[in-house]
Amino acid sequence: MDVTVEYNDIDRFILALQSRYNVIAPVSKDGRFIFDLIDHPSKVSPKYDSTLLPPVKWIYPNDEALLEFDLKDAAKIKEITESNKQALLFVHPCDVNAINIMDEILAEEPSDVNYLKRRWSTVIIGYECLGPCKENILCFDKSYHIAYSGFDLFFTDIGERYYVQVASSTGKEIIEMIGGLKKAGFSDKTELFRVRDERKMRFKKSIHGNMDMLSHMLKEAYNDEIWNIEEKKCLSCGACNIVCPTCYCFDVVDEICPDMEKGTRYRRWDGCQLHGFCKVATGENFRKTAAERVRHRVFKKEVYLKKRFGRSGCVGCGRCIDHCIANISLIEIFNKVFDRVREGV
Amino acid sequence: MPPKIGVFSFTSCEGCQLQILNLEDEIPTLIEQIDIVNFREAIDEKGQDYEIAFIEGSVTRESEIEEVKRIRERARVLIALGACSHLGGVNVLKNFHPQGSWLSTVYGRSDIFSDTIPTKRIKDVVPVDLVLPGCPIDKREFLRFVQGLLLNIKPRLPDYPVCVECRSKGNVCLVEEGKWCLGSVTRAGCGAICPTYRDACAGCRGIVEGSNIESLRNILMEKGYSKEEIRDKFRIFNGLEEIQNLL
Repeated sequence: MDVTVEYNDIDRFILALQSRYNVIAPVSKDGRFIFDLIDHPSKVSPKYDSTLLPPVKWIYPNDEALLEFDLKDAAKIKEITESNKQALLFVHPCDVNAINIMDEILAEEPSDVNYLKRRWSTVIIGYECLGPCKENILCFDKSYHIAYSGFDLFFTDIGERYYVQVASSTGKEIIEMIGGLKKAGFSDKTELFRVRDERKMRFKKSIHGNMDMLSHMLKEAYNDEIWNIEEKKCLSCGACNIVCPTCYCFDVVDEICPDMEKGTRYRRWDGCQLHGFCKVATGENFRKTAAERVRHRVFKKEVYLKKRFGRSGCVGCGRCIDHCIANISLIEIFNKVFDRVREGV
Repeated sequence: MPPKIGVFSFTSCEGCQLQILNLEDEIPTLIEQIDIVNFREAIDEKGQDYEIAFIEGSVTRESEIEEVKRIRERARVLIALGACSHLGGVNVLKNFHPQGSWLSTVYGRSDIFSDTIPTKRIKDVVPVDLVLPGCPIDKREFLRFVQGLLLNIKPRLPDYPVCVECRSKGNVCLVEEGKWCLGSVTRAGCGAICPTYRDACAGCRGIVEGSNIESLRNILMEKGYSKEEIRDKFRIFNGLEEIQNLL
């Protein structure tokens, strides 16, 4: 049964949530927003455009400990899996969809135990986008501006109050725990449908081409010169990878205790745009040029993941565009690909 | 037998030696495993028998050249410790001014005795086996280097730029705000400490392999920095590196 939460009741909602979970919510940071552990409901900014890092990073943290080892006895290995009961609050549909994609990728055998354990102890509370949050987005083109699953609760601002869709047994428990919330009535539902209906008028397409054809078009453009043009700009700094909500590559590093007896193995976020990413032990580099690397990033999301899971691995959040200081834009690349294939170049 | 280690200092602020001493919690355990025979900032002993030498500082005097050569002859492994030793450090800035002007600028007169010469990196004088970069060095990285030597594993430096660490921390990018920062072409490993405190990365850990200097120059020029300003930013730490033709 769905409920409504009055605007002025939101602090009580968050406080109650904090009694059971570590609440991770959008907070402002140096003029932008970031998902962070909050100590007080007043810190939360429900109305945010996008966050510097996607919320999924709280399920897939950087420098996560994987195991402890013993330098004197190689057989003594202790696996580390950690999880806290956490609630990701006010997650936009693109990021909910990104978590769905990550779930699918990381649950594939051999499954990522560390990710799954954290994921199972994470509650996701979505927040509807009734219009574009900013420029440089492709979520509407990809129909990732709406989330149909992957959340426990989902907030929609219907004026004076939020419509809260209860989508799981955990979500139901939370609503019961908070208590005193009104059941959503006919007028609330009518309002929900109305604001959702208006949504499609506010979003604009960024790509002038049929997105279902994108994967095919990219394959046509595999040897196109557009990748060489991007190479001149690309700094190979990896920012696009780090801010991406569906990038999951990591490297493994060992830290040894000063006593030289024990150590810990961590995983550290890695990125396919970095020069050393494809360098192997004997010194060969399988993607030496930035052109190959930029092309790989695009193909990974739009061709390879699409082939494996039947949908694009890019949710169109636009973080990689916002945070590329060299102005490399997926929107520009996709439009160029459509143009060039159309022109028969 | 614990390996014998010497820590030597040339022209520098000696902050990298201090970083080693800042490993306060680890030092008691560390000195059980290594034998420090020469380390001016820490001990009185001036042992000349060592296998591993860490050299801090750059060479800026004629007399220092012979001293560095002597250390190289004695040490099996020579490690450049910190930006001055690795890149020449800020000491290189004097190389961009006429040779005669240094003494009069600093001392007000140029007729005092000094064997000062244009700044050299240690690798310009003798072969260097390993580099521990940074201004100052990262004390944890020093620890990893020593552990690597004890385990006979070549210590690995990050081969990616500072941006990776900076973005991973969820920092707001300085360049996005229109400011300068060399993090996108500089070797990581510092934890992006400067940009995390909203200060530009000046490139103290050196230029990372595979970096695109021309693109960063173009980006900074679009933000309104002149070619000269950009060149000067690179000169803070990388004035001797082979990138000057790209600026």
